[in-house]
Amino acid sequence: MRIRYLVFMVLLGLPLAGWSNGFQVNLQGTRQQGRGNVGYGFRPDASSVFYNPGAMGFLSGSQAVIGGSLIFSNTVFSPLSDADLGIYTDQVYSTDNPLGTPFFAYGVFKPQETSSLSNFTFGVGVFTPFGSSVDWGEDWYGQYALQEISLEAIYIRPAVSYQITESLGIGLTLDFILGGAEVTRGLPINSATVNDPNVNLDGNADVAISFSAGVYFQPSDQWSFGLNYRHGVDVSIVKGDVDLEVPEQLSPLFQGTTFDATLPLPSVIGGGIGYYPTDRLSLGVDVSFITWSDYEELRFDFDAPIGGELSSVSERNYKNSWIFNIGGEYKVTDAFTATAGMYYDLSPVEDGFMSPETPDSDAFGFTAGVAYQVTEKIGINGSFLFLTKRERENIVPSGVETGGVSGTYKSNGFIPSIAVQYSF
Amino acid sequence: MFLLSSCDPKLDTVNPSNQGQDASGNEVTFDFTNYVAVGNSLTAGFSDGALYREGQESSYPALIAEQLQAVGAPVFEQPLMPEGGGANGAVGAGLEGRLILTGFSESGLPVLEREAPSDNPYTAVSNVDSLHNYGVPGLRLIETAAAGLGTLNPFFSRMLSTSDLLSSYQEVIVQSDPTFFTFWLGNNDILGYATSGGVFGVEGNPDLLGLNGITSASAFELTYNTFIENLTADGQTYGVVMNIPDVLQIPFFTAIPWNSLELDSATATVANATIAQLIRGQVTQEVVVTVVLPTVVAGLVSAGVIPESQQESLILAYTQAYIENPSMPQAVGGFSQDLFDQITQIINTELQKDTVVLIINQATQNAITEINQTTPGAIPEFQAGANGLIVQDLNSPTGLKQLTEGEYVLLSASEKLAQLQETIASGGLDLLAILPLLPTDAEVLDKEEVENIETAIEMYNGIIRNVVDDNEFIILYDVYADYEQVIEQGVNDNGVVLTGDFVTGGAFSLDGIHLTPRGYAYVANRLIQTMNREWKLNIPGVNLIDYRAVEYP
Repeated sequence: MRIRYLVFMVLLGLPLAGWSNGFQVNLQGTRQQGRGNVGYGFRPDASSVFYNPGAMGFLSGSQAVIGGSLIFSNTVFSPLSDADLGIYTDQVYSTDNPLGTPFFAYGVFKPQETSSLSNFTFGVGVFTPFGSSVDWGEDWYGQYALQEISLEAIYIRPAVSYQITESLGIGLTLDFILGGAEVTRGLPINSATVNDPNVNLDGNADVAISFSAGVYFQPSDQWSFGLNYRHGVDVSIVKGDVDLEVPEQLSPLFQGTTFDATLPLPSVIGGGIGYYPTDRLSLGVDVSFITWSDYEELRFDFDAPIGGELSSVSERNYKNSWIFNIGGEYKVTDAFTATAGMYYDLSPVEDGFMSPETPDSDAFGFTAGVAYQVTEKIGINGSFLFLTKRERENIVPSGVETGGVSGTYKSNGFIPSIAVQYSF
Repeated sequence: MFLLSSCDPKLDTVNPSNQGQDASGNEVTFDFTNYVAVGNSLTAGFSDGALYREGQESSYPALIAEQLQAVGAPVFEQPLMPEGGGANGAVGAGLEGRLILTGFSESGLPVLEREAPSDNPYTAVSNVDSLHNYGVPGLRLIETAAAGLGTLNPFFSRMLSTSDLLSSYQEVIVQSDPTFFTFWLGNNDILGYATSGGVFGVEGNPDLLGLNGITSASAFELTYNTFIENLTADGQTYGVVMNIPDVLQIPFFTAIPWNSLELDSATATVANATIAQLIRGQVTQEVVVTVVLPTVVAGLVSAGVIPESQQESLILAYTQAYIENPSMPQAVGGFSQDLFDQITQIINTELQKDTVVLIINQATQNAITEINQTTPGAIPEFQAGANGLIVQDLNSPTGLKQLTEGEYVLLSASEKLAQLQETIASGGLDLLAILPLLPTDAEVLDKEEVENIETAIEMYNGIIRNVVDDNEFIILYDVYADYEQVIEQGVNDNGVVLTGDFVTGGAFSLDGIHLTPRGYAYVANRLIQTMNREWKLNIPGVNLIDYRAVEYP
């Protein structure tokens, strides 16, 4: 079966790249991405497994969709040589991020109306709502803070919805979260024999379990409303591998072989409205609230000292944040629909706490897309997202270990996406 | 894809400018077209105990000049050494190249080796007429007005054209006609005294024109004033002067703490007993010579064994023989060995007598009290754990002195001390084996020497402060404060940590005195920051991460 095949591919560890603020990845539906990522309360499809399981019952039949995005992203950084006077060095560093390829696959199965289960709809999904992949290289200015990082969290989600009335549905999901992290940092050692002394931390997380719930309400042909809650969970790596490249003479100072770490995935509360003024035109808005304040520090504990330290702690001090989305669809012909939208994604990172792993700032996303129904059963969606993060100056506060560097960051990204959907 | 990657985000943050303001707030366009660096080894880029090319390439003047190129400065010319290990400044037999770290001993001490020197390191450079870096290793402020320095200092002579060989340093600098200068002199006016353990006194070594002494405040002030006046006399040359860091905080004086003698309690007990035995032995000798021996000889005279006429010469002869070999004095002065053996036997019997033992006990106690009063530390006291190091001291009645807090051991004693620790660890507490491993006066700074150094630094920095206050063309870069910050608190510059620790601290090179390329980069940045702040300039700094600290194998 197709979905299983895809799960397999995702589990093989295809590289992911976070391209929303914090380390969220809001690329879970090509059709939604084409209209500003509006999805909580807007016309449901198979991606409702992710956006709002309460809407699954509103599909006209069973449907499966698979798709993915290509993330071309880039961040540049210019270091401050005098933070007090705001004077910069004359160097600019740029990330060499790997191409991010987040995938998603959803299936919604609707029992026949004659079935005793006809009020229920069942769904399954595999998606990657969190991840980050940043590669600054070995020789850049902040190499002791970070050379390269990749985080990933893969959700495997069975879902069920119940149709309370014809216009009101609720849904519940159980989430199995797999994940892992790999971080490489340079060590402040110059050596004649070891080219790039560094420490590499690589580990897979224990499976975490969480849930989400959604409500979808469609009181008329012109309006629909949705609410969704995805519960946050801590993902822990126990006994990940520590790989050290240090000159032999210094190895007594670098004895660590394993590490433990915990990364909190925040809760996301979202609400949205769909408005359908004519047969051809529909409009939607979404608001999300993300409990990023759960992320206080990034901490690695070692089994034995590394450079004299038993742990590495970087203050993160995130604050809760919001995302606002607006978008619409226009049905040009019966088979062909054009979409457009935009969103504003507020950064959870406080001033001074930017780090090379998430060079975060408030971001605008501009999107456009097309949907084409090839046959009665098969449809293709394509979308394009241009994302630009505001240029942001980061001055590391004194006395706080943020693991960051002082300077100015600016990032943008280009994210085409494609998906195929099959109705049955 | 090419289209996509061509849309990389752009930053427009750098805007270098040499438009600034002078001390009175007037708009000034600073002219960096002829930046001349005045100074000693620290300015030359001396590092790891030698002047060698890599160190020179990251000298702080070279790094500053590179940043000044953004505001119109030309390429900076330095008297680069030939490729290789460079030179330590010695001519002839002592000539060596840079230090390299080859590993660590079992006890964790760094193992250092010298590289071979560069070939013909002191041959005059080809760019003598266009030099910008006039850092001369070993240069003292006091020497700068003296003619003929080029004939004494090989590093200076290689920077001079033959016609300048007899010119003074000041003349050469003024002749180079700087439009801008940095000035860091005065360190060696105190450092020679400190690194020689103050062994020649504040006047210095009379055989070497007072080298290794401390320059007097009046001479320092006069030379400093004259030099700066000459440099700024044209009314359009600006400069940055740097003060004198506290030399006693650098690893050369701190890498070996005064109390680095680690003993377990058993060893401490044995060591205390050994010292007590040493004193008792000396006192016993004294009692034998002054009390016992005259009585014994008088007895022999009255017994008719020897004639009275020989009484005094026998006492003198035996005393001489006894001091040479107390356990078995060998006959001298024409007396027979039998007679000497007879005396030795009687003395030994006398020493067993309770009355004599009592006398020796009392005399030992008196001696200890007296020594402790007149020369504290001459009788070391050991305990389990860290103990003050013992050094050789010719002025001490025991020949020894135990260091106390506030005194310093020089890094140059490290090899001896490593051997000392090994000897003690292997159970050898034989005084004869230990004595040559103890540091000498030339390898320690006692309280008086420390005070001389601290007083001088304070005076020098006061003088420099006054010169800056009186001259509107110069500003002060307080490098004294930056050394203190690095050494006492450590500095974290965007993940690059610098401390004053030897080898691992990142700031100081393997000689414990001079800086690493990264240390020099820090100085360059801080100096640039001072210029930006004081003169309202906008000159970018360098990235410390691009410059290495101590290189491990």
